[in-house]
Amino acid sequence: MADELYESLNELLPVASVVHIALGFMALVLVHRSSEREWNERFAGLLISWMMVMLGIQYVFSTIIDYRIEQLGTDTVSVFFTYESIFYSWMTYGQSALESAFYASIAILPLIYPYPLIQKENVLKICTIFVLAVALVMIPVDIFTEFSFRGVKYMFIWTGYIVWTPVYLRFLVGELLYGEKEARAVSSVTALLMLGAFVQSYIFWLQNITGVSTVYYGRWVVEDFVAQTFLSSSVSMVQLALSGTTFLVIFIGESWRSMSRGFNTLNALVSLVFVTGVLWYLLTLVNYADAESCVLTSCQAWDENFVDWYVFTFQVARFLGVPLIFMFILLNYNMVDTGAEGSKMITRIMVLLLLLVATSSLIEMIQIILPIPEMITSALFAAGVVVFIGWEERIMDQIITETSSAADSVKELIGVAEISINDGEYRFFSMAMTAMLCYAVLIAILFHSMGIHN
Amino acid sequence: MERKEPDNMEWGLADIVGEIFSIRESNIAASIAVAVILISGGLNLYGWTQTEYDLAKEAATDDQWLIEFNISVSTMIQEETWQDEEKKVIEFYMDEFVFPEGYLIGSVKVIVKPDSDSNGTTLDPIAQCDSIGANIRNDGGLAAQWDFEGNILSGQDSSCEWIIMSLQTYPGYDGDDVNFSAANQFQALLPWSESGWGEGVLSVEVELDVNTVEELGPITQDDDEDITIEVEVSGFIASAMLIN
Repeated sequence: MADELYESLNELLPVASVVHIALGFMALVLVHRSSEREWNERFAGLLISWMMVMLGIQYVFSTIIDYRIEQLGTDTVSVFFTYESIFYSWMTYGQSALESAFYASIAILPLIYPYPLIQKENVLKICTIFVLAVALVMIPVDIFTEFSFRGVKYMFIWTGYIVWTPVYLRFLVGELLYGEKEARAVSSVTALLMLGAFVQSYIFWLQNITGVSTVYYGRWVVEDFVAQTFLSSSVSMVQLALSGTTFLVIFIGESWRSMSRGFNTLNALVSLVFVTGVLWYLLTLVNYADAESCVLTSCQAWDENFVDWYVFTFQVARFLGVPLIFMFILLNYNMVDTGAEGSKMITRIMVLLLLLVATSSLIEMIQIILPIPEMITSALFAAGVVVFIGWEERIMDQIITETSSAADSVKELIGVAEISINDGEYRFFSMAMTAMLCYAVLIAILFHSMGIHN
Repeated sequence: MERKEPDNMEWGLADIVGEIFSIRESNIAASIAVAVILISGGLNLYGWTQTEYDLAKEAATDDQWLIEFNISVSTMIQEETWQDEEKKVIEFYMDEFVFPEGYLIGSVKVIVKPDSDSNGTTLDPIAQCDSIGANIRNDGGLAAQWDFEGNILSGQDSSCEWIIMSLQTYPGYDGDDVNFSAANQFQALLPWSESGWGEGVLSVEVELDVNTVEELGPITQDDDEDITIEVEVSGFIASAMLIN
């Protein structure tokens, strides 16, 4: 039973790693070809592409760790025979190092897109130096402290909460109260960026805002191999409030907009997350005794259905939702030149890859709960493929023709400094990102081989 | 709310940030959001730092506990006569052993006692001890630690000595106090609170091989033996005492 639960928990990891890396590299190619775009669109596209690559490599490490954990107690893998040996190995170091690199990168995204807070000619240089400096320090420090300051590390993504929320409100109110039609592109892309960056915590919005989530933090202090420090876990308490409240802002904002302008896909997505959050809150209350058992008595195993619910919501949001949202932003908000001849093919592959992976993964997820014979799921998948191939032309047309540019809207409504950045700087940024990835992987391998833990 | 022309703008950070907060209504909404964040974050932080973290940390920190066993022994005796070369299985129903409420079954001791007159008496001075073989049968009827190395599951004797066998029923139980590392008293006692062990039927197999001197002894009809099987079942209830 426990083994089955464990397998279902990590069903999506290998797929997610391949999808993220593939999409990331394809998006990189597209972004480097999109020289006609506004500087901050192009830079944001570049950042998002690299973030996908980083997440993909991080998930590769996670996949290897899962494989090792599954092999514990068997003779298949003789070197790693305890969880401790996995925890203090290049695998966990690598996973954590890539996570640190991701946080260093995502920290600057709200500062440049959709409304650029840094409007200087040397913006790319500043951002590159910032990302490199943060990663250079954070990666080894995280390993030295045995990952016990995760809450502090996550503070780098707070820029998203702090910057995007007022930007979203500014342009939402601008559209609905002051008739700024162009503002919609900015508020919608901001809401999508927030969903892309934080959807895995937004699905817990109600329990985060009410403080019910703290019961899980209590359990993790007992359960985790190395518990989070007092400082780290205390910082996380503030993050819970940030996460819950900012989602509530988006939900209320989109509900207000749907009442004024009508229901759209973004409303549907936000409503889905809203309902998921309410269900999570109720289910946490139902499983509260299990959750706090570690602190009060002894750790009780989670209910099997609760684990399935977790897989369906958290894992799907994290491994499928995040790439889907970010790729939609890239393609639909004019960050890449999808109309160019060479780019069309790559865009087409990206769209099909996303749709097919999403379909097959969801079918796989359904199989965890319902014991549907493989013949039926294969038929469902085949039907999905046929539908997507039929739709592919239409989806592509929509992506190419019905894009909206948030950068143009900002320029039109507020005005931004005219900044020209030459191609060399974008290439320099990509080289810096490559160097950072190499640094992260090298640190992980070297620290392990030198026995840093000992 | 007026759009600035790029040529006329002074691109200071204050101006850029000021544009985000240029609409009063959105500022009010942002202020409410900040208030909610402060209230929610403050409450979360207060609860966590004042009580929850300490509780969790305490639960995660192991203490040393002395586990003491209060032992109660229940005994059942069965006496039967075996014929020469007869093999019999005697069954003892474990629920017939009586223990106080809450006691768990820790171990079983089986003593096979040959007839005390076997080794010669005044009436029959040259009578010889009979050969007795005994086994505790693992036929699946009793929940016990059958693979425990300290078990003595069989024995034999031909010198009128008692055959003593033992079987551990509760995992790890040997009757001695133990030190245990656990976060709290509940967790310390958790390994000693599993019910179900020692339930079922204990089967003791005994085989007799009579040794007799037919021509010389005054009583030549020595072809049977009275054998007593005594079963002592140790029940226990554990208590935990904090050492440090």
